[in-house]
Amino acid sequence: MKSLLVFGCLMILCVSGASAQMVDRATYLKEFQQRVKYLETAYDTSQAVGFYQIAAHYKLNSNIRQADSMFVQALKVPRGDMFWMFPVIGAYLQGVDKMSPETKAVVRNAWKTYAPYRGDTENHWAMYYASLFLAAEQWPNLPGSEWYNGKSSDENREEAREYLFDWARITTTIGQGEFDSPDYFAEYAISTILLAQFAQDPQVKQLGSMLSEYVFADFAAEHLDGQYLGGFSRIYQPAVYKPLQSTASAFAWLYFGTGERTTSGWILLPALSGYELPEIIYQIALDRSKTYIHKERKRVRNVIRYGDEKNPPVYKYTYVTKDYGIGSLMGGILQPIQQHTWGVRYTYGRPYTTIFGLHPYWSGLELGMFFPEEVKTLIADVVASKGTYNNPDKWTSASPFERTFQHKNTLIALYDIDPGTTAEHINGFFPRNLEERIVDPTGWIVCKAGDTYVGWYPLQEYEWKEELETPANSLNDIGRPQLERVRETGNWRLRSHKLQNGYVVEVRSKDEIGSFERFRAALKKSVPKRTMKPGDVSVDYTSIGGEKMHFRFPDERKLNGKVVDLSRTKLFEGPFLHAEVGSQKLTMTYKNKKRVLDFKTLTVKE
Amino acid sequence: MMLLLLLTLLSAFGSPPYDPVDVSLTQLRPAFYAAVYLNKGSIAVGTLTGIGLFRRYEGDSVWTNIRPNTITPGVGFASFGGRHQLYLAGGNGLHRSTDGGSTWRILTGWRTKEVLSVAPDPVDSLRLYISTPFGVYRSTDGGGTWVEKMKGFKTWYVRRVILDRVDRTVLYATGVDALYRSTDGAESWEQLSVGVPEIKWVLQHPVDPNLLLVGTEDHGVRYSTDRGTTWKQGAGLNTSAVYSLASTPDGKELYAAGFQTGVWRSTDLGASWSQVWTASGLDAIYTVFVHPRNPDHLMAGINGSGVFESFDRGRSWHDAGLPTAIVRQIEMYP
Repeated sequence: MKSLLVFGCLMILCVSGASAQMVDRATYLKEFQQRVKYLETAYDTSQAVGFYQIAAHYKLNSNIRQADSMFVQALKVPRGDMFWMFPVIGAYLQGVDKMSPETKAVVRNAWKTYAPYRGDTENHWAMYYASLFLAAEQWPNLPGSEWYNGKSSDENREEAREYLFDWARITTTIGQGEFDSPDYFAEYAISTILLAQFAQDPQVKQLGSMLSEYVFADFAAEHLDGQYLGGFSRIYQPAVYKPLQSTASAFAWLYFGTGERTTSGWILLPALSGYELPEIIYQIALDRSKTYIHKERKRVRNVIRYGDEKNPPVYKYTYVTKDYGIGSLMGGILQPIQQHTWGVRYTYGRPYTTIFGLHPYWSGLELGMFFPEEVKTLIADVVASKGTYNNPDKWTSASPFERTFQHKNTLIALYDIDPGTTAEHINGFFPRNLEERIVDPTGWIVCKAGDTYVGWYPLQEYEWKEELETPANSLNDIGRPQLERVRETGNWRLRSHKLQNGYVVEVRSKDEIGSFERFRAALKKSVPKRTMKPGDVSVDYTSIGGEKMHFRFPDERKLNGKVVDLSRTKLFEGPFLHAEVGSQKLTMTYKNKKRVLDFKTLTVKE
Repeated sequence: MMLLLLLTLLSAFGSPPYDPVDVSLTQLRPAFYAAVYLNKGSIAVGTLTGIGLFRRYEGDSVWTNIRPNTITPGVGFASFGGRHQLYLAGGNGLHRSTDGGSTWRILTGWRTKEVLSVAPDPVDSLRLYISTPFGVYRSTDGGGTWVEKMKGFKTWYVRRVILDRVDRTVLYATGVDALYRSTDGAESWEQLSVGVPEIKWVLQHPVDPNLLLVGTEDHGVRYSTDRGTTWKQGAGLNTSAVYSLASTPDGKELYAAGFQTGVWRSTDLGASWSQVWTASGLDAIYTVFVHPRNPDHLMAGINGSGVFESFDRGRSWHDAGLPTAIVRQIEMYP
């Protein structure tokens, strides 16, 4: 009863992060601890049997015997591969000095008898090797017969250590492959925070701490009001159109105090760990007093076939204001299945705080670039776990027929789609909660979302379709119909069936341009000139800011007559973050503060 | 003297230092081994079940999962001086068991990533070859260390690597753009002019080592009678994807597994093919297997439908277990 009362009080204290203002360090830490306490209490008082509840019991020294019992119960039928490894080692590390010898033995035995699959993505390997490293440290000097993979404690520890350092090297030289993922941010943050807090090897501990800062800084520079600003390598439905439903937003609530209060399990282990974010990252995440451009260079996930380069570069461009952010990747197949090439996200109108467009593409060849299975069966294999992949209405997709060109808050997207391609149309997402969605006689679709205004000029004819988020088309996080989802009134789908296609998007805030009417008037004067023929798709456009943009599909971009050379993009380039390609060094800057993560020397300098 | 004998034996067997107590070959019951890549019932990472290496003893009908929880595209075997080695090519790497599948050790580390096939040298127990999505790797110390061997390759992905039966310095590897051959133990590779890309399988005839056959993604079966110098199209099977080839021990009958076209047979050394089983209602036949001592007995590994079996050279087939499994390879050992 007492704990329930505490929980209730915390719920009152722990206000939602809506419209969060930057606070001083002391206030931040106090509020952060309140959020931590809220989470701890939620899981400590939960009646469910799970590793997070067990971890909370151990951390709070409550119900230790029950935690022991639950741990034994939860380990009876191990399942979940690397998604099993990190909560198990996370719970164990919380309780290692408190649990009974019998419980310890059960946990130990699980690492001998259950063989988790290592997985096939970057986040899988981060979880797998971070967990394996911590486990190998906990049970040193054991022979291979005591481990599920036949390797000794020393061998497992060294293999994991080597991988983790190599992962850091690649990430800090040519960028992450599974980059900027609102839904996979958690997997990286948890792995690195656990290393930072629990690794005994001082170098790995330092690496974990620096990698934690790295992934959080990456997020912070593209954070707005609890949201990650796109494009993204991977995101699920519905988080792509309900941005705060991503796990990154749960981390934003815990560490930035933004977004919406949550009891997401993804943030429980970090909350229990005691990890505190450096102040400069918090400040980068929160200070939107000045508009800025932030550029990044990442890499394509490992291409195993049908490509000339194993890890081609990815260029990301993001424009951030206090009211909105618009961000884009340059298009093409950069990541299979769940790519989000571009989007506007803003602070108005939760939960549908975004407008974006895409070509919903799917093919065995696309999957075959990244997965080793046979191309002819790959689509069916993927659809079995990612149900939206071959759905022409899907809201995430990479496409070889899509390219973008962004300058500040103006974006051009072009499409030159081969006949017979899946699918032969493009889609645009317009949320139902826009204050205005007007089709101007000039062709501009003019939208108002609070103090953010969005103009969308379709380059070809199109149609509107109102879509209900009904059980039939409402998909859960693994793309399967979720029957219990509540029927809601419709969002709007713009669909255009022309194969040579595109649109121009202009975004402005009230602060930038004044009234909505003024924005609309400015758009009327800026009508794109286009060529829409197979093999010859281009647009010339003078933005409402007076910038002349020429874009010819696929990759001819000119700004005010000068060729735009994306290849010169640095790993991080903006007012807050700077990193040169190959440098293994990230410099964070905020006002007169500087913090340098040097992965070559494994040092942090301020 | 005893020490000398022991050293000689160790050298001959090449037993690496990591493995548990070996079980001799004679202690192993003959069994079929099925490599289950994924299972349609649990295909998402984190929910994987019913995958790995499955064993069915000869004469039994039940498959037992002897190495769970890693996606398994391939299986391999080797015998040295009365000792045996079972290999599992899997998502977690190359696994080896020397105790009949009771315990396993992963031989590869993080650098080799997913292993698609394994080719143990039948004479030198320390020499192993694996193919991966990132190329061919070789170990000369029994799996302790691995070196990438891709000189001459134009692409990374290698579905399968095999050793020439006669000359152990010769290897064949199936690439995305071509069939590759090495004549120096994988130090370097050359492209063979099969004439079509996407080579999925390579088979060396059990009697005539000069006869090579390949299964291709879109052009059925092609064959070479001069060890890869020139190639011809197998008649009757020229459009289907062929993911596996197998032979009777005497080499008189050859079988091909077709994507959505069932099982095919050739009785003229690959020159022509006829369909022996349509596999109606089933998806890709990923692998076809011929019992090494009973040419009447065939098996087929199906995409999402487990194993089907025939005891009359393919005239009739029945479901032989592992429903919903994606079976990529079936072999028998010993």
